[in-house]
Amino acid sequence: MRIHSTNDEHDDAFRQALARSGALDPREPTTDLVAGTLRRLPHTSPRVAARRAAIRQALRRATTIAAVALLVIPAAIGALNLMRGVETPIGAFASTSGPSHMRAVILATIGQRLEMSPVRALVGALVWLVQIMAVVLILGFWPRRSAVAGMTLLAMPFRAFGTGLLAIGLLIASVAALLTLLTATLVGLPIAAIVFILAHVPVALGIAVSARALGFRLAHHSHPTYDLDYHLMILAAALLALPAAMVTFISIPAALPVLYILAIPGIGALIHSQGGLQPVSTA
Amino acid sequence: MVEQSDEHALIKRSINGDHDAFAQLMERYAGSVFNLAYRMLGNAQEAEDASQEIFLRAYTNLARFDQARRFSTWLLSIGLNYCIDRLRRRRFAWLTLDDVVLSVPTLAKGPERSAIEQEERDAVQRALLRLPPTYREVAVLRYWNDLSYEEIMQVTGLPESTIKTRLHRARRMLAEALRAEGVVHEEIPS
Repeated sequence: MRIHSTNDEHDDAFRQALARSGALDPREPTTDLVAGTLRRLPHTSPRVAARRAAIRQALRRATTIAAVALLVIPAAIGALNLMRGVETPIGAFASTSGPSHMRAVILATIGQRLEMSPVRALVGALVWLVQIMAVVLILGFWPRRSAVAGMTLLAMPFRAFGTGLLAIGLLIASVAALLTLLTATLVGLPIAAIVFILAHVPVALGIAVSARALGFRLAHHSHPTYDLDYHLMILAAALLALPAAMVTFISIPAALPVLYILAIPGIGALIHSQGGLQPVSTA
Repeated sequence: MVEQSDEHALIKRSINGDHDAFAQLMERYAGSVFNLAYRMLGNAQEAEDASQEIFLRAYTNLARFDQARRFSTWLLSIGLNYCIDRLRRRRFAWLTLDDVVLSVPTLAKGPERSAIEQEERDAVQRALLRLPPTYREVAVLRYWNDLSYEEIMQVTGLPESTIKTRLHRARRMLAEALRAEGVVHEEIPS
């Protein structure tokens, strides 16, 4: 390939040089773009679709603002309460019933029951089943994005683990700080419960990506495809769900750290692949 | 002229919600939209997703399309804005060259010649992806979508002088990158 000049006057020469190299050859999409887009087209006219899209966007914005306000206002009040030394709802409960009494109550209602082996077996089976269901659901909803993240995990396992470790550390620290502030007000208590549950969504996504990567490994794919082999995915999910389920036989709370550890590489791969949108190859 | 009026008829039918008419419009421009997305984003998989999103955006905004404009430039401006948005959303500046790296050369021209040509094509794509998006967009529109300066002005909304300056710099950067890759075999005049 020869390029004669970078001068503006040699526009055609540059184009010809590119053409000679074959770089200007059009690239063909691997899927039928028209059929794919037609399936996703709104069933209404563009005018109605535009109006609906505008309404959806306004609703999205309003929801975001409401969610941020729901999080920020109670957290700010909680921070103020803590700074002023106002008694928090949990503190008030502890002082009325006494810390030792509260602990005893909790142990009596939850802890002691969890010590029974049939309960542990049941919890273990539940942890196993819920994990498999969550993984299969996530992979079913996002087959392409999970595949891209899974491929990224196979391409850079150590970097993914490092990034995932850092991310989960930051997540735990920020959620812990947020929960401290939210539980300092009465109104923040239900929000704290929601935040605690939502904080586990990345963990579920991470486990799903780890399962996808394990599925590729089990299938011995040299070049993983986007097609979802459900049997293999269920097998991978079942295998990956085993450690946390088995740990519940020793200690039920210990299952949580196990789940976090399993999610770490997947979370890292998700970050590196920008949520499964941007594949990262070994090359 | 016939084609232009035919296109206007298809647009009118599409505005009334005729999916078949919009499918015909998509058939006409699927190639150029996909190639624009591919050259801007550098990844075929992402370009396919982006192309679908571009057509969906075009459909939603079709009622606002000014029929005095050319449909192709309007569609490409939607495509370009979408690609720029997508590039901005990328938090990390990783180059994704897996398409380039993993593609297998065809054997039609003999394996050696084909491999050399493939390497040259890959080198151009790599060099293109290293350009800043503002330079990449004018280069892609000029050389890959074969648009005139006036059409690039319509698509990007930039003045001609800016387009020429960016194109000049894009050419120089591309040429230097290709020289560094060993694809260009002669000195580039300054």
